[in-house]
Amino acid sequence: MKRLRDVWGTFVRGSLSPLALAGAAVMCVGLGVLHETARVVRRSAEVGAATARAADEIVAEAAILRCAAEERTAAQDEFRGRTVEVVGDANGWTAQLRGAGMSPRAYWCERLPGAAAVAFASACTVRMPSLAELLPTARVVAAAGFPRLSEDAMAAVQRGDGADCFVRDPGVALAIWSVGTDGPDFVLGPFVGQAWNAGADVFVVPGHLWLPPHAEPVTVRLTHDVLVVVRGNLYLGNSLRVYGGGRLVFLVQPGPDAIAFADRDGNGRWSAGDRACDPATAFSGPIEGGGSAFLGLPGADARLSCEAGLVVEGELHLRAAVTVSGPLILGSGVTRNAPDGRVQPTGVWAFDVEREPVPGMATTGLPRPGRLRELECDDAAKREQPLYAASPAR
Amino acid sequence: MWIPPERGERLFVIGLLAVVTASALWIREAAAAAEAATIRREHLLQTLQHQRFEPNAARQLEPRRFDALFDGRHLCWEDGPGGRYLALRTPPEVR
Repeated sequence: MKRLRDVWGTFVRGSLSPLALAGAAVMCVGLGVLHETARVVRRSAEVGAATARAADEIVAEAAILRCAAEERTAAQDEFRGRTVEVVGDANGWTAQLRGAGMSPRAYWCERLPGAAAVAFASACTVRMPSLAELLPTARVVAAAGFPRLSEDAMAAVQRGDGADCFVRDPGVALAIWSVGTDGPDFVLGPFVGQAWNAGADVFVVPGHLWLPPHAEPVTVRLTHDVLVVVRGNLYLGNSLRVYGGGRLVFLVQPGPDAIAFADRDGNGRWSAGDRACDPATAFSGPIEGGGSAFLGLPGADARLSCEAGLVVEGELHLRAAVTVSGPLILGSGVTRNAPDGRVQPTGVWAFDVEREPVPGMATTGLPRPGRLRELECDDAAKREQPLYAASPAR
Repeated sequence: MWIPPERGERLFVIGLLAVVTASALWIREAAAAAEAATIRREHLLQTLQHQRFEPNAARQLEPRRFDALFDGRHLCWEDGPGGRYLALRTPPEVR
């Protein structure tokens, strides 16, 4: 404060030039403007680089798709001074982009056998038009449009691949239903996340799968897409969270000899008053395990969220208000076992069925390139190459 | 003690300050216009990237909307083995 008073006094006494003061002020303003301008130029350069990268991706993808459409193993294209070279093999296509003033970039598209079922592109798909009232946004497909397993996945189901990452728990059903279940009951194993991320993408539950009620939601980290085939019923009594970039899909299908039915009284088993999903079929076989999904269980929260996709071949039973983030695909009807039972397909994620594989599911149409991925260019290795080839020692 | 400068010196310094101030204001105006253009491009780019990779959004992507991003090149849909795909085309008069 004292120093400020001194400066002011010097100015008032006339010992400091007003021109010098004005010059200093103008310099400060000028520096501020230059700083601001530099920031704008830097940001503009960043956006320009991101736009150039997006353009490169579009050009590379278009070149790969043209090469695939013309069924060639290699193609070359030139676009505005940039050369695009595409090489294809049994696994996919690689596009190399080179040009003056840019570091070379490489992109890759996996070869897909065809398109996945269109139901995986929608938030909700049903087979029964009568469900339109309950699920107004649902898309109705015919039986032929319902997703089915690929031949490889069907063989995996027969072998029971990946069943060891689920743990058999004879008591879990007794905690919910007074008489339990007749079929084998499984819960997620302690290292299920590690097992699902190990490389395989289809896992089979040879019985019922339970996510019993718990205070904390079940959280799974997935680094790639995984299909879990439940050969029985799926009992969801807890919220399920998935993170890590991978997507989880449950396919619930009837167990051996089981018939899908609507459990109208909500006792978890076939009893008087229940009805088979196919009215032409008389009920027989196991008293539960007809490929039903039970969203909400006695003792569970009234609101649950499921961040997986659900394909239910049997009946969907609702005892809670449940949000489903992935595609919800229903092969039969919906039964509400509680007044608050409802399901909301939020459509947070879906598959790009034309360009993305859905693990374990059959495809239709021609083979095609999958989504474009940028490959790491080994620039560092190139920089370390000697300018001249080493000559042999004399 | 400050000695007042001559009249000519004063005029020169005041003129210099005026020129510097005017230049700073002009640069500021130009920077503001450039920033507005950058923000528009950035928004367009974000929209394009979102729509390219979101299956449900990709169906509604209008390529002509993004022409401003690619300096005279036109974004368009073409048909391929995996359905439609985006391509960049140079108009004939630019080629």
